[in-house]
Amino acid sequence: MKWAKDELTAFLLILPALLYVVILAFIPALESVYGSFTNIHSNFTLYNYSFVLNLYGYSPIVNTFIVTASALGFQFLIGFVVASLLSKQFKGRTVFSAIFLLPFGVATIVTAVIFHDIFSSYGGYANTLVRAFGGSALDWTGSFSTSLLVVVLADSWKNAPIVSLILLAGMTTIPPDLYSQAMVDGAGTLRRFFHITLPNLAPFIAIALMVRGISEFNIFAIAKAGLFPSPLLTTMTYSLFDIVNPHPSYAGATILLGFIMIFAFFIMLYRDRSAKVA
Amino acid sequence: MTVKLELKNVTKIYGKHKVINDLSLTVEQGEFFVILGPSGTGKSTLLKMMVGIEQPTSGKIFIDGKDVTKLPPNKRNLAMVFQNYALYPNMNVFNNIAFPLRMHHRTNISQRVREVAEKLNISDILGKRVNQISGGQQQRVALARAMVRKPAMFLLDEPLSNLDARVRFSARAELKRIQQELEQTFVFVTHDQKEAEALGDRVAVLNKGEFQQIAPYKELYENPANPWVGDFVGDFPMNLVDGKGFRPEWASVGSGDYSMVVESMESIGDVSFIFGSDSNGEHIVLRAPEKYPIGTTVKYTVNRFKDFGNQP
Amino acid sequence: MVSEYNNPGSHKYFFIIALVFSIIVLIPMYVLVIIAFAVPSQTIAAYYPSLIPTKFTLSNLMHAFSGYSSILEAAFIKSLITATIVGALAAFLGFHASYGLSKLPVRLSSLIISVLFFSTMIPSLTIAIPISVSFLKAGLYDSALGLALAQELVVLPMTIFMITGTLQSLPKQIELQARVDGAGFFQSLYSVIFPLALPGVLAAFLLSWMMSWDEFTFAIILSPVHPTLPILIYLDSTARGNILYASAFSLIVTIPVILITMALSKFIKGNYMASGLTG
Ligand SMILES: Nc1ncnc2c1ncn2[C@@H]1O[C@H](COP(=O)(O)OP(=O)(O)OP(=O)(O)O)[C@@H](O)[C@H]1O
Ligand SMILES: [Mg+2]
Repeated sequence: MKWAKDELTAFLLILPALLYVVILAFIPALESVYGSFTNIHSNFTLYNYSFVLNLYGYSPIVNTFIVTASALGFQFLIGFVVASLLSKQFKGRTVFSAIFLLPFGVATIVTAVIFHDIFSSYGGYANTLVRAFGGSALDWTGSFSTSLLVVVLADSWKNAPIVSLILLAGMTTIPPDLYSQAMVDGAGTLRRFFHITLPNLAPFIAIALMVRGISEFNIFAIAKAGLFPSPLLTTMTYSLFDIVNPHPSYAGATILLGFIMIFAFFIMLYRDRSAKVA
Repeated sequence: MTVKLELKNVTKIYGKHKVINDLSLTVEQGEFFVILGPSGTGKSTLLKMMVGIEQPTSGKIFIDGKDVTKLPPNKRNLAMVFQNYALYPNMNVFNNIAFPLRMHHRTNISQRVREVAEKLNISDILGKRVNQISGGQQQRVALARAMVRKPAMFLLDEPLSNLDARVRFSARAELKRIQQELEQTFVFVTHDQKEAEALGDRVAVLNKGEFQQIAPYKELYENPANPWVGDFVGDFPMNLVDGKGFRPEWASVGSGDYSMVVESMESIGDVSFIFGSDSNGEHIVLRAPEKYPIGTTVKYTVNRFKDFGNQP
Repeated sequence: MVSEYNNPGSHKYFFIIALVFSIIVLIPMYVLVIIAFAVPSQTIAAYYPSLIPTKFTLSNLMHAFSGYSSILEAAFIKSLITATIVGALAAFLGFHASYGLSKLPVRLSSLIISVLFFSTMIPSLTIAIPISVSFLKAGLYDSALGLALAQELVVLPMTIFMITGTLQSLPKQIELQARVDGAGFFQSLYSVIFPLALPGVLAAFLLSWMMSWDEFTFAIILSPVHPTLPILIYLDSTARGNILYASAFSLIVTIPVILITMALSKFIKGNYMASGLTG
């Protein structure tokens, strides 16, 4: 329909949602950025940043990167395995795919509680397993490396299903003939993965990286609930938060925002490049 | 007869693509007007502009003498049947037919729906969901929905093309009967010549967004305005010899000044046709009283020509 | 569709791998259930708890619910109201916006989609902190409505992408037919398009409902005094060390969401998220 009037009506229908996003997302984000460079008297200052850095150093940034990279790596590993599995035909496939999706429906905080129970240093099921193999009980959340393991496991348990689903959607778009051809041409399983699956999946990998990467930078509830005591950008920002003087927390929030923007930029770059190749 | 619908210099451009090129047209009250043309020539686009779903890029459209070019479809009081019927899948047959009445705030809805259903022999399926009925029934429901509010005019976009051959034949006859009974103006789009021949009082031949000729079908066949129409209309393209055209039945085979080499034969009913080429490489189709072996040279006389003059 | 050559002999291996994976996936949920239903001495109070407890009780749950009923009830109601507002608003705004998008020229609609997509990149924390200050002034701080308005941000773009997908799958001529039959812009929108898009709109409602039910970041900053269920669980498990209660409440939070997930599994598809997020 080419009525100019209808197009105006159409635009008016979108306007509430658009205004909503502008007023409740973009303006507050700008307020955060602006607030991070000012004090309560609205004077320009870099104090908020130096305050945050003096208090925490660079460890929240480094930790956030380590957690994000580890969780992404682990979730993609699981995601590829599960997606490849579900792309095959075998008995009970639909039931299994429903089971694999279940954790997606478990609240993040509940996931945290469950993994807290499993990896508790006293009365934890993980320690039962360690003892069964002859080890002695560990204080899982006590050290950086073990708490990294716990937080990655918990986060991936809940979120790997999304990665699998996105990759699976991508795999169904690859024509099976491509694989047959490659097999005839003598390519083994690994070569087929690197030369057919991976390049053809690029746009879907970009989406999964985008969706999950941004969430990993924002990982908060699981860490806050005691699984990862070392400071992250999120937990740091939350600890700085004080409703009377929010300016230091604005600095934390802005650093977080900045890193996510940089991350998103590189993913877009990867997506565009892979789109050109394909 | 009074003029029902008038198009004046209508042009439609999508992006850079000129789909309808400066068309003018008058359709008279009570006429069954057929627009015939190959696929992609802008038939549906033309109909959409008449009904008001699309607006012409330039030009004007009049209904009953009133300029409706800028009016939205709900203000034009026309009915349209789409190629795939566009029945509302979430409503049953009754509600589909009742929908236009409700939109126009008519009263006695139930009575009117039943009346129309009666006329089209679909009274017994009023309670069914539209995906439970056959193609032929869907076509009637679509027609009933078009008729129900007594529109000023009916626009139909290849409404028979989704039916299988046998149903299509009876549906065609039924459509003609209904049109004569209603004494209403129908504009009917098709790419099927048989439909155009059977239904149209007049047929407009459309190609590449331009009318090649507007005339009764018989006239198109016997007196095509240009070689393209001669080629497009008829079971076989019009034969061309020396820039003049003739139909197979206008020639007699056996002796004469013309000749061609037989390449194949085909029988339709008890009539046989022979296909071949003459010395200029033109394809020729002739009606043959007897069989001719492939490769033989056949002489024939043309009793009547259509002279295209210097047209391309 | 099958993406690789299928060797019938390998089906057995696929089955076994899938089975092992399923067990690993299910163990954490199983742990939650036994902590809720087994006697504490065999679960959280045991130094090396077994995965197969022998004594079961309902008193964990009863203690948690009775000793704590008013706070739990308040949290439950707050979560319920918030999630319902979020879902309803998402369905309402999302349906209209998606329809509007489908009617705009591609260049404008893809610009708007990019704006929406961009908004999903802004961290909740970055938004929540300045909003909390404004909400305090506007009297929305700690209210279900305020929280819902903030959480809506998380779900709105996704909702619009989802419903847009549904609208695109509708036959185009239906709408034109409605206009020809005399329906105006809004009549055709509400009496023809909406009923056809209802499954997608409902799915968007449920998914938004679920995301709000689960949401943590906005909830802890904007509604700390009268918390929602996730915050109550957080306070119990971490701040108060009340693992039994936290587990019991977790069960309440989880059950409706699991049900919704199963009901929606048709809609929670990779390509849905993909179609939205490729923009
Ligand atoms: N909305 C549109 N935007 C751009 N081009 C269009 C649009 N609608 C139709 N066209 C183009 O206009 C031309 C004519 O289309 P139209 O549907 O009118 O043809 P038609 O004669 O009805 O064909 P058919 O017999 O296949 O139905 C086609 O080339 C088509 O691609
Ligand atoms: Mg058409």
